[in-house]
Amino acid sequence: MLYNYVLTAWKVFLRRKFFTFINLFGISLTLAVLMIATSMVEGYLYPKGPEKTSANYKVIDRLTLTNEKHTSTYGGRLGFKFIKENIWRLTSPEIISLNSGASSVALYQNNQKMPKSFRRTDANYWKILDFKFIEGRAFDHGEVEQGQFVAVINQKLATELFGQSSAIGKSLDFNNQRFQIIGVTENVSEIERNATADIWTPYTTMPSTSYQQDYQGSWEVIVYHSDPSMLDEIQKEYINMLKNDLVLDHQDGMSVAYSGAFNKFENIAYQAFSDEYSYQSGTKTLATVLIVLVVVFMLLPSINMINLNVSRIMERSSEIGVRKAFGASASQLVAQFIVESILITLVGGLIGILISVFLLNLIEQSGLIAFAEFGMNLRVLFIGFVLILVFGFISGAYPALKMSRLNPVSALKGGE
Amino acid sequence: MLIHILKMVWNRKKSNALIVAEIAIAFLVVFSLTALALRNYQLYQTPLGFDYQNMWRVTIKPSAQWQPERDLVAVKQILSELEKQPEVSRAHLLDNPTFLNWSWTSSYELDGKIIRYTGNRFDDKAPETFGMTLLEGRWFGPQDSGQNYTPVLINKRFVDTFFPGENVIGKNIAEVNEKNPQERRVVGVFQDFRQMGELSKLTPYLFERLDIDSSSNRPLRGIELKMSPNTQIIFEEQMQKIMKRIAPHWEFDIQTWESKRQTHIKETLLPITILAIVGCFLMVMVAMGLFGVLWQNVTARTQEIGLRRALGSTEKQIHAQIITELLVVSFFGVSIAALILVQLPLLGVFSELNWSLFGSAFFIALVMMTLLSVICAFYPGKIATNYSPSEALHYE
Repeated sequence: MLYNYVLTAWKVFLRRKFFTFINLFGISLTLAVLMIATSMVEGYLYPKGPEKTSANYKVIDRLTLTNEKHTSTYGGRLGFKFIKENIWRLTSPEIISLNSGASSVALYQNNQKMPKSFRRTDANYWKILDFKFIEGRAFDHGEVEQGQFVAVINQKLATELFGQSSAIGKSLDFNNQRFQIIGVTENVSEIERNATADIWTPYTTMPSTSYQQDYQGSWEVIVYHSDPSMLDEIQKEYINMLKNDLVLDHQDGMSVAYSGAFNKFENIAYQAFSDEYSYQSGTKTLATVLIVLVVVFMLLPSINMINLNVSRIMERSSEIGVRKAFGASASQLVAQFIVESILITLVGGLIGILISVFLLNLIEQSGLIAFAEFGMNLRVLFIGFVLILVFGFISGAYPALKMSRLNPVSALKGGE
Repeated sequence: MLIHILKMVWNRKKSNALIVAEIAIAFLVVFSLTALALRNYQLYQTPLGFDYQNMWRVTIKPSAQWQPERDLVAVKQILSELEKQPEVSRAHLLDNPTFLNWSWTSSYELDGKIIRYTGNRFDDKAPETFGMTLLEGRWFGPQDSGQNYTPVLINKRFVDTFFPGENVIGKNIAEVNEKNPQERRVVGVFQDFRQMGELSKLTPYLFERLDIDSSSNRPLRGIELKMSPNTQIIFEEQMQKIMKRIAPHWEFDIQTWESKRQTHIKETLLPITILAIVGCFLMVMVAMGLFGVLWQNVTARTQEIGLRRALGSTEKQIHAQIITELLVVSFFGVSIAALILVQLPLLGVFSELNWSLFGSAFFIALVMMTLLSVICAFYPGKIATNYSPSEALHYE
């Protein structure tokens, strides 16, 4: 039966090549746009680089400090003192790591300025994030404790500075400090916001120690547990601590703190929709907004396809008349037309996937997002497939219903 | 003629409804893109109010809390050391940098009005070096030191928004009370200072005076340098060394205004470009869809057209009929879209979308949709004229 439907559909597509082309054009480009968006979101949510352990950790990188009446508010990143006095008391995480966030720094070589990003971290950072070292190693607890001037750099910087020769043991000068390079890692995509940098050094090499007195600063914290289901416990413990057991001897009358340990999806939601006096991330709102956006974007191509298909009913009225006269039920006809519609969407979808692979390659090479790699993987393909089915069903259902309702007598006569 | 066509369109309202819906949505897309493009073009045309050539910014990144006794001395020393360099012609203080999304907005109530503005601080000589234009009054000067008022400079938009038609020089623009005993006296009005660049919003702007000798506890955040022309970027390295020697506890970020400006324009235009590409693709799709539907409809209406030809309609009249029909359908679609769109300025959803912008964007979008309809209907209409009456009436 299905075989017959497919065969009929094929003949119909070939009969009017121009209409098939219009349909394919709309479907493939719509799906290409959606696939590109999906694979970018996917690349953010499921990183392939050092952050591939992201299912096991949450990030605390936002803090709102305020007073009882919210008349004076600081919103931003965390200060070292806040981390030391509060977050380090958390008992549920297995590993707690802090780093300074990525900031820009200029290196000068051969009369050229090289803008680079660098990050000060502790030793735990290297345990939580899965960096691939090309040579050398990360710095350990001892080196951090002693404030040794050692640095890890990425492959691109190593090649820029030393060409093909090994970078290990060489020195690196920036910010008037001299570091010894002890490790070279693979380049990290800019989309991995907690891992990306060109240079990593121990946080204890900060030129002054007065950062230890600040509740507000530029720090971010990663809390890790080997069992992903424990991450919610960490969030609960943290919020509980902020509500009931907060240490904050601040001079400006700040006595209330809002913050949260978030995974990647929660983090976007928090940035986009959460108000600053909240512990919640607003993931439901984000999910709703995303779904509405996708539906609205698919609406125009769908209506377009419905229009085309409806106007082609007449073309097939004699076929429908014959099928009805020989006893085909309305539901059988509906099924047939939906199969047809899904079939053409599938073909369009495949073309769309090819287009999106091509465009994603272009985006990667353009260097718009440094070291980004957006691959097609099974998850993205699966989402694409679901989109194709939804799209095919939406645009096939209404014309199919309309066709199945044709009166067989008038259909055979060729009129409505 | 038109009434007749209206009747025909109405008679086929069921099959036309979807086309109307499609055109309405397409019009919403075209309108949004046009409005966005127009708005940015207008912004780009509005003068910046300052020169960015040969200007460099040094942002101070303190790794410790600001301690005025220690840090003001360091900044002063840095300023004088830098000015000694032959590459540097002038050195100034400016808190919030140009061309970055780094701004200080503030608001307060005065005589029942909410005064909302973007603020900044600079030193006395800075506006001349930045190439800003003074319209009334004067810039800051030593006569402002030790006074019982806070001198401020405001831009023309500030005056036009909050004190239209008034002479504001010497005017106090703050609510004076116990908490806020000092008046804020306007000493001058300048043309503009569009801190965040050509594509940023137009806001009322206010400068406070930054006097390093009587500076409060507020940290100083940046130094702006006017460089002699053709200074190589590598001079940065030397600057870093000089500044690090004076203030080893700070880090410095050096950027030219020109490079910040390029980044700002690129970052603003990128999302608009992506939207425009997606919008164009949607339009091509709609156009091809309409074209297909019309072609199909014309084929289905062979008998009707044959009859009209037999009764003496000319080819031209048939052609015009098909095109006018689509235009009438488009008109319905656009009207529905217009009903939705007009809510935006009525409800003031986007403060940027004023009536004149709405009007011009609407007009351009209307022209584009009309063109699109005519183009889509042209070829199917042409086909319709090819039916000879006898052939058409024989259709069955």
